[in-house]
Amino acid sequence: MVKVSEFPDDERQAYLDRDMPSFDETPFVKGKPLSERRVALISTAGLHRRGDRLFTEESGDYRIIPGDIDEADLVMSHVSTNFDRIGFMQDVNVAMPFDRLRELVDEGFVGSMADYHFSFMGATPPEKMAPSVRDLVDILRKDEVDTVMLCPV
Amino acid sequence: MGALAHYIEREGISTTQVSLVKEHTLKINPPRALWAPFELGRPFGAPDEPDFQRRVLKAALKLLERDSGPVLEDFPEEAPGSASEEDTEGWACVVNFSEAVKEITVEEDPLGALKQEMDRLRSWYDLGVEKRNGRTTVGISEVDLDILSEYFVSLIDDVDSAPPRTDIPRFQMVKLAADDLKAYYFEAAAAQPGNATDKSLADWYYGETAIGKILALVNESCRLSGDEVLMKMSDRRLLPIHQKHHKLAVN
Repeated sequence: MVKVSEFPDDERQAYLDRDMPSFDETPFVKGKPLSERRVALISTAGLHRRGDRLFTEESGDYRIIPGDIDEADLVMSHVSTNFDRIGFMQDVNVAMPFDRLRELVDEGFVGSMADYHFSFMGATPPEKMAPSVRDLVDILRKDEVDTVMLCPV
Repeated sequence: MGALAHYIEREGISTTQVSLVKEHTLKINPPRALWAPFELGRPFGAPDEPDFQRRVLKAALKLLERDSGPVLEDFPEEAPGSASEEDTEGWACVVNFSEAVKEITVEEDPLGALKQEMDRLRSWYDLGVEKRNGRTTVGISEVDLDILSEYFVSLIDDVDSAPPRTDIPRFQMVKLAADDLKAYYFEAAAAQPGNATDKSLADWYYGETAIGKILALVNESCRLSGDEVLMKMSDRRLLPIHQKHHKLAVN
């Protein structure tokens, strides 16, 4: 099992005590009913198309993943060794639930699925991702996305 | 993850997320988060469990129906197959690498030992790929596995040995070689019968195989290389936290 609660004591504490950005307040955007929303997935698992630029230490940029990607072309170059990769080896949906989101669209639970989805690499300090988010948000707007489902690793 | 939620939501787009580390989420306080008691690497619980994955996704999306936030809710179910350690103790690699059957040892011929071991796993690896309709996570380095094996073993004696790719930094080449070899072994082992978890595979990979011994030697070469980047990588990126006991006790 790869749970933080099962890390050795000193490593667990260091992991939990990691530096994090602090925010004075939390934004909260209300929106349409779920059945009318257009949803994009954003992962921090260091996922990308095979052949796309690899993630490396402190990569703050993102990779674009088309919603209709053949799952054989979806790979992971996250630098950490401290999380389970067998799940992703067996089924991409355990990390990036493309098929599940498609099913929720088909049953009318959500309105539609974005054309483009994204991945960052979560070992990077979040402040280094912030500049890329502005570009990413422009793409989301052009794709008429109003809702993002964030998928950690 | 929670910081990304802040960045995106303040641009006017609603976010929701799964949280795997509640302590971090409490510190960052994102607009909406569903805390789930799953393994790191498995935000939707378990592979090949579509009904369960759909329940997690729906629960996270339903947080968007709340009128005010921040919202942090617990997902009430454990992931399927998130067995206690007792249930997974039974897993053992069915290819036997014990000294009794091993013709080549790492001590006498590390490359020979590695190639022999990889050959023995080949059928399981191929079977796994076939089961997944051709999908494999091996190949991230874009270098043939035979060439990677030779390069990786050469690092034991010389971290400056010629890398198969020169368009990326050396530390990244070392890391990609380690990752591709590990992916090959893990895919081969996961294709075998039994409930293999990341921890049980890691205990086998780092503790019982030729590649595990070679990795410990390469880790040590990097640690003693005098190259700051390689030294840092050897501490953080070659051995998982739960396998640090396989570091060599050499100064």
